[in-house]
Amino acid sequence: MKISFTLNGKEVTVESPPYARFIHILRERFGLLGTKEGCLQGKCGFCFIFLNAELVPACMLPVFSAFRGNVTTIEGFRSTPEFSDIEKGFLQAGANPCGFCSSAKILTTHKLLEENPSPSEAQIRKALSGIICRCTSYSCLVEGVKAAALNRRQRDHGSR
Amino acid sequence: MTDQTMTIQKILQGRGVFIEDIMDKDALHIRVKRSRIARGRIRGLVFPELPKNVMVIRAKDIPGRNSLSVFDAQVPILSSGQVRYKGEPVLLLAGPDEKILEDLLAQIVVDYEEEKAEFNFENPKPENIFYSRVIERGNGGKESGGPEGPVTKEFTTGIQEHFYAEPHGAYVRWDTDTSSLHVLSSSRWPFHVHQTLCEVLALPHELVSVTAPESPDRSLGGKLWYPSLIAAHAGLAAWLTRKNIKVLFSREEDFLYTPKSSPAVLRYKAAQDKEGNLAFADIRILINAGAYCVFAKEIADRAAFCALGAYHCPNVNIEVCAVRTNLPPMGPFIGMGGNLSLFAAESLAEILRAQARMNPLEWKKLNLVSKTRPSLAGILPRSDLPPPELFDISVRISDFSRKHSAFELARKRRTSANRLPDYLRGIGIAIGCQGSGFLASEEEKLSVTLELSMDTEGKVSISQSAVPGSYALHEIWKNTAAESLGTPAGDIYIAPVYTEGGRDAGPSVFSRGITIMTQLIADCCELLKKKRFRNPLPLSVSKTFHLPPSNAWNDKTFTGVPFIELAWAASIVELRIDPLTFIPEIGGIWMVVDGGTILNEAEARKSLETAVNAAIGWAMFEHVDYVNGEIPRSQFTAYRIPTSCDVPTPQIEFLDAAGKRPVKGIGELAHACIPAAYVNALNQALGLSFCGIPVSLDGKKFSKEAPL
Repeated sequence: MKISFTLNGKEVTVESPPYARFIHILRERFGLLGTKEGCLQGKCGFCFIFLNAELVPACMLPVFSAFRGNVTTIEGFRSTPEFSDIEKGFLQAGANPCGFCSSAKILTTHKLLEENPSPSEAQIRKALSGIICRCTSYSCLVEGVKAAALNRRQRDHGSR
Repeated sequence: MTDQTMTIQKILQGRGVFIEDIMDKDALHIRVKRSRIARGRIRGLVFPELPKNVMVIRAKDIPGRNSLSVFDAQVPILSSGQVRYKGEPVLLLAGPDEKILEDLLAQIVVDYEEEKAEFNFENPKPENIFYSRVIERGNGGKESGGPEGPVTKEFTTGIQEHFYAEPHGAYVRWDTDTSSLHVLSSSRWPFHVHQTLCEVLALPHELVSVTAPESPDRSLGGKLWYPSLIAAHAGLAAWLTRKNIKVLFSREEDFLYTPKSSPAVLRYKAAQDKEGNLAFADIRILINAGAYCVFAKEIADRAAFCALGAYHCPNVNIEVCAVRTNLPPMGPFIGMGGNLSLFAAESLAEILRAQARMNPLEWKKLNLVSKTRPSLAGILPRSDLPPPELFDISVRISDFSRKHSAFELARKRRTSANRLPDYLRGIGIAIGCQGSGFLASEEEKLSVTLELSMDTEGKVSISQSAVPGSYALHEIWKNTAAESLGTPAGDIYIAPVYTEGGRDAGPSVFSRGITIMTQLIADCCELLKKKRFRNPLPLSVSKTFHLPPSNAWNDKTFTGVPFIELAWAASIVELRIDPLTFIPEIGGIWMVVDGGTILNEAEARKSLETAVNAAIGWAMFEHVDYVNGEIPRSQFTAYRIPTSCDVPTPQIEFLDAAGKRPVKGIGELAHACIPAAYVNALNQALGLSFCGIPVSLDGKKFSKEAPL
C-alpha cells in the first residue's frame, strides 16, 4: 500500500503494509534515528513524535494513520526556534537526559509550552511523567522546562 | 563551549548513536535458543530444515573457552549439555533475516532430561551455598541484654530490574583484511568484553578491539559483565561467519532474561541493655545469587560490613551466605549488597528504639560507631566515621522532631478515638553508607593504571579506561589536571575508552571513576611537574593505584579499613496515606551527605536525586517475581518505575563539601538509606511493622503485619 504524508516539512510516499509500526518506517525507511525504539507498547514514551501537532508514540501508530498527515520528528523539530529555546533551557538548568529519552522529553516540553506558556511545577511533572527513564534528575528537568518557557516568552514578546 | 556541552547538545538534538542506530544492511543477526527448563541435561536437538544462509552455533563450535570469568564466577557462553536456569543460552542462530531466525528458533526441539530445580534460597542446603562469611565479635552474639528481651525479626528485600533505557546489545565488525573483530558494546567494563572475546575465540589480544559508547549510561550495575556474554555471542558468530553481526535485545527479552538485583532474607535477633545500648546481635543473611553467583563475594561481604548499619555492638555473630539457585544470574545493582543489610539494620534500629522508648535521634546517636566504639571491621579512621552532625542537620532542615512527635500523637489519638482522619502521616529517618571501590582486597588486585602525557606545545592527553557514569566526569578530570598543571582545561584531552593499547581499569562501578581516577590524575600531574624540572617536553608519566599503607585490610579476619573511602548519608522521608485507598504519597525527602570534598556540587546533587528515584522505586513498588524459575510475561507490562509525579525534589545538603578532604563516592547512598527511612515513615503512619520491601499495601499482606 502506498501511503503519502508530510515528514518534517517534505512530501513523502512510502510503500508498506498498512499496519507496519510507524517507528520502524521512520527509522528504517527514512533513517530518522533520533526517535528511539523502546517498549513497543506505547508505555515508555521514547518514540514520541508529532502527528498533526499531537504527541503520539510512533510504536503504536500503524503507518496508515499517517496518511495525508503532518509528521514531525526530532530531526525536523531541531531546526526550529522553539527547539533552540528548549535546548538552551535544558543546558541552562543542567537537564541532561540520556540519548534514548531526550527526543521524547524535548517534544513533550514543546507540546506543554504550546498549550501552557507558563506551566507550574506540577503541570511540568505531569507532562513528563509519560516518559519512563531512570536517566536524570526530575528537578533539573523541571527547571529546564521552566527555563525553556522563559526563553520562549522572551523570544515571543521580548519581555518577561 | 566545553566538550561536555557539545555532547549534551548532540544528545538533545537526537544525534546520539547507540547500538540500535547502527544501520548495517550487510550485518547478520543472531537469535538465542534458550533453555525452557531450570535444571537438567540436554539429551538431544532436532532441527528443521535450515536455509543455506542460516548458521547454527553450538558450544562445540567455540574455538576457545566456553565460559567467561568474573572474579570467582564462571558463566558458560553456551550450554554444553547442562542447564542451570530457564532462559540459559543453548545455541545461536545467525542469519540475515531476524523474522526467519525467530521462526526457525521456534521449530528447534530440545530434548531435556529434567532435574529438580532449586529456587529456594531462604533455607538453603549446604551444597547450594556458594560463598559464606562468618564474623564473630565479643562473646559471638550470645544472648544478653535488657529486661525486655531480644527482638527477633525477619527482613526481606525484593528483586529490582535495572530498566536501562538502552537494551543490551552488541555490534561486531569483521575486518576481512586483518581477520580481526571490532566490537561496540554498552559495557561499563570494555576490557572485560575484550578479555572474554579473546578467551572464547582463542585470539591474541591485538585481533580484538572494544569501544565503549560515547553517551554515558547510569551506573546501575547491570552492565558490568552481562554485555560480555552478549558480545561473546556476537563475536563468535562474526568469527564463524566472517560477517558483521548486530545483536539487540527487545525490551521484553531484556526484561525477561538479563540479571536483576539479588533478593535477600535477613534474620536478626538483637537486644539492648536498659540504657538502650545495643548489647548483642545474632544475624543470618541469605542472598539469592542465581545460577552463576556473579559478584557474589563482593555482595555478601558488603552485606556483612553493613549488617549493623552505623552502630556499635560488642557481641556479634553474623553469617552471610550467597546461595546458588536455578534462577537467572542475580547480582549487582546500586548498593551491591550493602543496601540489603542497611535496610534491615535501620528497620531494626527503629524497632529497638521504640522498645527503649527513646526518640530515634537519641537512640541512633547513643549507638553510633565512633573513634572509641568500633564498627564490625574495628575502629574506623576518622574520615570514615559517621558524623553525628548528619542527624542534627537532617532533623533541623526537615523539622523531624516536631513532626515525629505530632504524627505519633495523632496515631495514638486515632487508635483511641477510632476515627478515620483525612490522612495517615508518618516520618522516618535512616542512615547509610557507601564504600568507594571494591572491598580493599579485590581493589588491590585490579591494579588500575593511568597514563598522562604533555606534548611540546603543553597540551595534555590522558589515557584511561573508566567508562564515565555522567557527562560531568570528564570535565571534573580536566579541571583537576588543569588546576594542578596550570594549563587551560581546553588544552587537556581525555582519550576515548578503547581497549586496543589501553590498560584495564576494572569495571566502572562503586564511584571508582570519581575516586580512583581523579586521584590518579592528580598523582600523575604531580609526577609530571617534577619531571618537567629536569626533562624537556614531550613527557609521559603513568601511575598505578595502590591502597595507602594506612588502609590495611585483613580479609580473613574482616578487620581494618575496608574501602578506599567511606561516605555516609542520613535521610528523612515524610509521607501521607489516604485512609481509603491506602496509596502512599511522599511529601518530602531530605538527605544530608558526608561525601568528602564535592568536586561539582550541581552534578553531585543530580546524581543523588536520580539515585533517590531508583531507591524509592525499590522501596515502594519495583519488584520482579520469578514463578517456577521464570518471569511471567505479564510482569513486563506491569513493571513500573517512579515517574516525575511519584517523587518530590529531595532537599540535599553536603557536610563540609568545600574542605580539603578526600573525594568519596556518593552515587549509591540513596539506596543505602532511603528505603529504610520510607518504611519507617510508613510504619509510623500505619502503626504497623513492615519488614520487607517493596511494601505492598494490598489487603492480604497488610493484615499479616504485626502492630508496633
